[in-house]
Amino acid sequence: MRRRWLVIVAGVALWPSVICGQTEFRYVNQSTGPNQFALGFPPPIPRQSSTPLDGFRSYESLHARHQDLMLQHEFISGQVVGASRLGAPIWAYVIGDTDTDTRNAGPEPSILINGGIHAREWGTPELTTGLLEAAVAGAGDGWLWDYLIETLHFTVLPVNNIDGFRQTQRFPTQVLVGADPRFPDRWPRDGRMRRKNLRDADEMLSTYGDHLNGVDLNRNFDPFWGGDPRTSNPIDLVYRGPAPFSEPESQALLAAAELARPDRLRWYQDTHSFTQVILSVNTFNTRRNVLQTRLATTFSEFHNALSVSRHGTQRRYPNSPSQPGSGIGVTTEYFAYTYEIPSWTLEIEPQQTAAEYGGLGTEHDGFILPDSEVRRLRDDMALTHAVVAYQQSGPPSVAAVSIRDEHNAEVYDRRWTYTGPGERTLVAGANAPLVAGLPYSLEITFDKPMRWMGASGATNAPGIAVDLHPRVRLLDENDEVLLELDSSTGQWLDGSSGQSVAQWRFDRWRLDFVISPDQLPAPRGIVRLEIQCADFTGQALDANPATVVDWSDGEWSGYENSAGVPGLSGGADRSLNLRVAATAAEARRWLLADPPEPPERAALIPPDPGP
Amino acid sequence: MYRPTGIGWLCAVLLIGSAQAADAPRVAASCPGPVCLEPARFARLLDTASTPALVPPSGLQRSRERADAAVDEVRLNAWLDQLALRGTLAADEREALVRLRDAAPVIWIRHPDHPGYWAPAFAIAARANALLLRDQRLKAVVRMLEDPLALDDAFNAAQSDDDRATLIESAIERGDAAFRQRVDERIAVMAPGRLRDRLRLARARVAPDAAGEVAALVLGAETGIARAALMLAIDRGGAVLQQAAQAAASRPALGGLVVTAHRVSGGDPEQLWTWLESPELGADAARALAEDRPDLLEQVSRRYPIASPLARLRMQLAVRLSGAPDAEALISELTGLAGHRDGSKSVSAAERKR
Repeated sequence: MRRRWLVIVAGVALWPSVICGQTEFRYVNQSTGPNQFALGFPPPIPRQSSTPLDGFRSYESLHARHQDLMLQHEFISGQVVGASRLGAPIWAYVIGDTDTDTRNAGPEPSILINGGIHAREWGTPELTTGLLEAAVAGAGDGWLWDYLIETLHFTVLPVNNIDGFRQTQRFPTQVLVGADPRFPDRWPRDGRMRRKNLRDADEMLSTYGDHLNGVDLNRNFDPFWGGDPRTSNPIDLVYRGPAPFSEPESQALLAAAELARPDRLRWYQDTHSFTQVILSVNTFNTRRNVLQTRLATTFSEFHNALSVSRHGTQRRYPNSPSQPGSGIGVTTEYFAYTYEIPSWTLEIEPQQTAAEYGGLGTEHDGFILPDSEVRRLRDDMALTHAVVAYQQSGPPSVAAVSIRDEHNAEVYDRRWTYTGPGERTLVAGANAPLVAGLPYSLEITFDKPMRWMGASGATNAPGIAVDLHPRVRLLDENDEVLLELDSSTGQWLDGSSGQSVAQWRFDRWRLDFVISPDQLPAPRGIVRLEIQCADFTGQALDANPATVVDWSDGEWSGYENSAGVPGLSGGADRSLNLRVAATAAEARRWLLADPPEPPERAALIPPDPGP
Repeated sequence: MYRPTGIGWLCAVLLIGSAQAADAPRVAASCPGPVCLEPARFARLLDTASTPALVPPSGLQRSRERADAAVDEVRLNAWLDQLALRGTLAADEREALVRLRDAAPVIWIRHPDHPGYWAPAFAIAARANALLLRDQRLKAVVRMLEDPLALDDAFNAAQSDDDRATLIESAIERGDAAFRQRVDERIAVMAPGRLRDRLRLARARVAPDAAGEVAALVLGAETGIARAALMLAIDRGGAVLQQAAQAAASRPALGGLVVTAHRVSGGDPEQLWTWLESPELGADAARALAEDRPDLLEQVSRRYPIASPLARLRMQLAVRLSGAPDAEALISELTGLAGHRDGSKSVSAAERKR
């Protein structure tokens, strides 16, 4: 009798799973029985710690961390940009100083990074949180992070799909298998493997009727909402929702874009896992596509070299652009087409499976990064994102040039000063002729830190080779080269004793030089100073600092090449002129005669021909 | 010998044959493999071909026929699933896996978030490699368990510390009491350092009473291992947690876990207020107060005026995290900055720098 009752009770308990054909599986380290997915490493469990550790933090811990950093640091601000379907406030944070302008280039550019849109992709909230943490750790470096804080409006939405993320953390090892419409026998759904939000779904794993519900927030966006026919099925993994932007989490991302100052946006990233690839969106704007490819290349090459140098492991992120005019409703399409900015989905590691970390390669284990890999991912990715942000903050330009004689007296001084929207004016100071045979010291100041900070000073950034020193030449009025200074003895200044910088380490370069009488150009007198240099991501100079580089209609504006023609690649700055005399007596004669100010090259550069 | 059933072959051949016509990728040039399948076709292939029992390792010759290769790959993957559930490998299985280490992907499927990007459906080579490594490790572990000299070798090996530690940890997990005793004897004479601490932690994991050892690790091991020891204590509870929590209290560098250990071990709630001014522990202390103290707002009102600048910030954080309806009003009242953008920048930068 008692046994019969037990059978009935067990039958009732199993009833929902029987009728829905669903079975609870668990992720385990090594298999010990049926209905298990053996990972080959301990299944990560979210930890209650707001400070970073070797593993994953709970959502509540991450949120406390964000709020704590925001409260403590002037350069991190935050705002509620919406609420999840279950009512959790969705926050976005901005890394940046409190003003809205850069020092010498007008309004700050902006970028937006979204994380945690797919619930099960636990690496992404750690990555986005790592950006805030890296900014705090890097602030005061007088270099990269200080530059970004001063120059950029860097917006991070760390966890977009809060309800879903919490659901996966509520069941960190449990999933249901058996009812997915496409792969009923294989695909684990809900619990640890929930991807969608919680529309029409509750937070319990034991209620089988609703666990396939929810909206894939990354199919809920225009302009290609509904572009994939599978997305119409409400129980499909990629259900698009009843209408574009129907979900409160999608609305929150739109609000985060407003916080990011949409008219200043230059880069959008939606952060996902896995497959270790950049899935970029190509639009019909081929020039935007070119710049996007360059940016993605920097991401991949830098990150790979960083990983090799730190861990001995290659980690390239190939770029796979979409076909213009097609899409499936993902967020990156919205940002690419709406704002004409580089826009991509970052799929973090692994490439295929956790077998890459020694795991057993079980079903869907690519979504489960082992605890032991989390810190590395977080730290390396933060630096990579900083470098990409640095590149997209804009190409470099010459901010000032000064020359001092052997007595440290300034004989030549030119500075570009921001005077209004899109414009700078050249402010001329000392303008004495240089004299052949006498020693001088040239200092060129740029508007961003130009070199990577290595253990022993200025060097190349990992994976990105540029000439370490600028190339400095004197040209005649026909732009023929008269002589080239030996820049190999030049030095990037790092702000240490006797090495003053303008704003950041390595924004100034010094070269001691002598123009020998043998090298003296003929005809003697006015020569053009040509400066060639690229920042540490390889972006060449804006050849004409008079027009401030900005982002407009999907490309750089005001970014002139050596001939003064706006384009995508910049060139050599030939905007400044010098006078060189053969002897001191000649120089004195010129000064006594008070010749007119030599015309600056900027005035000779043809005006922007316009589109 | 691998002999697919006739129906299985027929289905597979028809399936792949039709896939070649119907599944021609929209971006043909970007399909990098011999077989590129749309999801529906892929699902049908899985249904048709996922029969690992039909794949004894001796039958793992990959066919040059595309259809055969695709079916083979599905079955290989299912076979690897089976191997993953087992411990050691037979010799022929090992040989088969060695051959698979260089296997190129056969079936490619579209990336779900980017239809133009094709990714391999299976990671046969990586999985085979991982299984071989696991097998290698298991064999080394078995040698260690059976032969004291092998254990000595492991302790003295020239491998990196992490590799050695991983091996010995596995042996500790599987070994009996006598083996663990042998390990303890060797640990006792090891030089202090990371390897020794990792092994001490591994021993603590399998010891019924390791409270003293775990606490010692929390107190003295490098932060990563100390945190792992603290997590073990939190998971285990009881006396281990009590001692570990006490030890952790003197090591704020371990971060928020210290607060968690204190909280779940039933530590003095008053300590949380003290920790608010700790750079490492304050946020977690604030969260704990927000969740545990029904009288939070009253307490904050009372303590705020005499608190340090950092502790004040953490009190604001606690109030904010509590989600209390009048939280924002209280913050405004406390800081005297009502109407500020979001109430967060209520203490000056100078005040924040202690």
